[in-house]
Amino acid sequence: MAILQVKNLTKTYGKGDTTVTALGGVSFSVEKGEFVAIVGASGSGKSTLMHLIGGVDRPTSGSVEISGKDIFKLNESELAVFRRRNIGLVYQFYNLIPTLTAEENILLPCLLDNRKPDGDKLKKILETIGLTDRAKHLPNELSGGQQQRVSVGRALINDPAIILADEPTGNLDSKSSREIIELLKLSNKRYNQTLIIITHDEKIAVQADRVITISDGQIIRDEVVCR
Amino acid sequence: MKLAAGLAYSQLKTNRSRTLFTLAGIMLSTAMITAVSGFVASADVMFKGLLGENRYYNSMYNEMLLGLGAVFGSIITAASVIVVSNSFRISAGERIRQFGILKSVGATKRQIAQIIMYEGILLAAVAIPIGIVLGLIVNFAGIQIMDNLLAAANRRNSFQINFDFIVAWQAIVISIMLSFGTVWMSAWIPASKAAKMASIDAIRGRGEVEIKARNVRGGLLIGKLFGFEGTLAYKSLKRSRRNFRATVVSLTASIVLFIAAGYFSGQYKEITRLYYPGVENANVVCTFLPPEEAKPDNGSSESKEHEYATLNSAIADQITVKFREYPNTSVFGVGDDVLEGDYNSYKTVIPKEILTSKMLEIFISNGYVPAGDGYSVPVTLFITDQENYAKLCKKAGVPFGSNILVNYARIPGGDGAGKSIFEPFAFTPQTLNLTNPKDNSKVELPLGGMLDIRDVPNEVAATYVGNVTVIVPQLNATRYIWFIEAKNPKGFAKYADEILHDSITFEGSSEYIEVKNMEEIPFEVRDISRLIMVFIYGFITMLTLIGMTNVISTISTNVRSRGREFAVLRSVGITPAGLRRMLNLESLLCSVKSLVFGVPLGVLGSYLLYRAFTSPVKLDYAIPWMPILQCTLGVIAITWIIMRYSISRLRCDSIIETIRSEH
Repeated sequence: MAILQVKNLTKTYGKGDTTVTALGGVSFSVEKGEFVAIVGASGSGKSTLMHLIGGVDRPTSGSVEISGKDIFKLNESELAVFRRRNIGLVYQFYNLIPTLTAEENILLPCLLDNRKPDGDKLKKILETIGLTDRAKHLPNELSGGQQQRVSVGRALINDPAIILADEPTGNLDSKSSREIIELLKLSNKRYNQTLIIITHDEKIAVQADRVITISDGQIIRDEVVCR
Repeated sequence: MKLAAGLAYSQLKTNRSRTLFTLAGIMLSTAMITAVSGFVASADVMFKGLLGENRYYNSMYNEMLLGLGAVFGSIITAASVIVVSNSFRISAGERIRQFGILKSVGATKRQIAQIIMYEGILLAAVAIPIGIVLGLIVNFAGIQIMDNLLAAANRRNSFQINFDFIVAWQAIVISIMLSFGTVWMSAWIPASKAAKMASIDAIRGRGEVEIKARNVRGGLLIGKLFGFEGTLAYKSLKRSRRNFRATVVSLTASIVLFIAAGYFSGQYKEITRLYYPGVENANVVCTFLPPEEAKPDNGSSESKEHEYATLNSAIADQITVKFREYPNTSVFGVGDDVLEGDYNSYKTVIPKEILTSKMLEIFISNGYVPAGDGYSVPVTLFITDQENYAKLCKKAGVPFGSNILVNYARIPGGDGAGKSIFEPFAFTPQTLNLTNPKDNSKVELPLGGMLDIRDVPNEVAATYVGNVTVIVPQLNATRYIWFIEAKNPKGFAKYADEILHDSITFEGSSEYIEVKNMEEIPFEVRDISRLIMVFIYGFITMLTLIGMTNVISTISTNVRSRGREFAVLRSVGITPAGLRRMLNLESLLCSVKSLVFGVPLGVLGSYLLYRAFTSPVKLDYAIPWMPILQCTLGVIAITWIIMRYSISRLRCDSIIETIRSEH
């Protein structure tokens, strides 16, 4: 069964003559455990697509179903709860809460859910992202690569249905980039984690199982990578 | 130079709301300084005209006036330095990145500092002239109000008190200098900081918001009480102090000022109440007093006999009842057995152990010689009309018909040291053994209980003469006074005159009777006290306004600058209710923090005021609970409302817009 089902997703901005169509009726589905790369030039609509899938933006029309649930039928509070349990987001600019330590940032979705954090799980994630000894540091005491690893950790903590990563390496040097991608791939392989990465880096795209290319708000290519 | 001015101008234009608040802050403080110095100038002219060139009074009044002017002026300046410097700090902080870029393309330290200084100059150039005009208007209006209030008094006075509106150039120069100095200082600190910062740090945005890794303790309890959102709020408050410091400092300053000013106004009311008790509301006063010739001469020997009539309390009560029959009239009747000199007062020996340490101290410091294990003191027997007597019995918790000891003492201080009121008794004795000094006959007076100092009505305090006072149910009074609040004082005075002359009939009785319509009595205390209250409330209002502009600008900036943080929280799944809970808690913690600092400082301030303004009446210091309560509620309400308002504006933005817009 498809874990993600996108149907006829459309997003337009503005009204009348000035209407801009960012996304024009996009449909596709992703199976559990798949690693998908969405590529496209800047302005092609790939970020819009990702924000819609992540439930942080609402579409003009169309639907997004995650684990069989139409997320836009939920009200704002329900969506927020759904998001913290089912979607892990990784942004280009880490977007950590500056006043929380690395560990607290990772646990954030879990704590917001008022659940007791699973100590073993946290330990495992810290080991995976290689920040065991920096767990008590604040974001401004970490390097860019380390901060991004924290945000990957945050995305992983709740075993989400999908991890969405928007240009996760866009702000990093090549060594850190490689580490982050390895980390994401590891989670994909080890936990059978569904992973969608938005990127315009060819080297990253070819590592995915499947590459979807977007141009002017339409899917122009959807191909499985042969290895 | 031109570039710096241009950049400063564009910054002011982009951040319109903060610019407006800063302008308002500078304007209000300039206006207040101008108004205060204007009032000082007018009052100076008034006093000089009234007192002539009397050197003693002139130096005294100058001291008082300039002192008050200096106190008010420095409070205002302190408040405005906080507002204005906050706003500059935030403005500079927001543009750290811009400064970094400017530096990287070759702007010198001097140029960076200039941009901020220009901002200050531009703001000052607009706000100070408006503030001065506003201050002069306030000054003019205030003087009109005062003159109106004084007009009634002036009509019945032999001397005239008038304030003239004076545009004193000294006052204006002082306000310009103070206001400009404030702006300059406030601009200079962030300017020098921004100039010193390395350009690479500035570009990376380091040092924008200082976040310190602190061990945050006590989070557990907060988390238990308010959930994880509570912990989030608590941590952001603890680790990002700088962000909240501005708000906390400005709230604290407002709290301190409010409590101190509130204390001062309460103190002032209390002083007028104690110094002129009873007169505040009563507009007709009827008296039964022995005429001069019936009183014993001062210093006369005890053997000299004096004949004077007394008024039995039963007759007094009949009169009171008749007074009350007059429509829209309330009456309070009091009487005692006192005449000038100690003649018909009883004496008693008060054992030391029932006296408070304050009373003992006064006996000792005044050189009283103990009689046995106590002090020999005169006793005043006191009556009130039946209705009020019944009320006092209830207050003292004794059955009707009991004798009640009044736990109230007031001593006049010598040489302007002021008066003091206090509780003389620690316990109620069972009985007082009274001795009549004329014939040494003894009477035993059983006591039912004690009337607390706070329950002593004005009318009783007004007639207190400094002896041990016992309220008794019946008495042949040598003095009797009715305090009357009548809607129609003129009509009542005529009515009362007839009743008194009809009811009290002995030879020469009319000599004893007097009816005074207080409205016709010259220069009233209440005119002045009304005047001073207008001043104080005006001052409090202005300070609250300044504080408010400050709090609004700091809170809204704080919320706005954290837009991205909120968006991230929402994207990882905080519910709108959760976000609201977090911010509510932040504002609550912010308020609590400022109250924790502000209330003790405010109490300290009020205590310093208490120490500074000793004359004319010395009261015991009491913590100003009422202003504390008012400002506690006020602070929590204000921060909550402002937070909510700032969030409601944030909520309109979609998460993604916010996350994107900052990069």
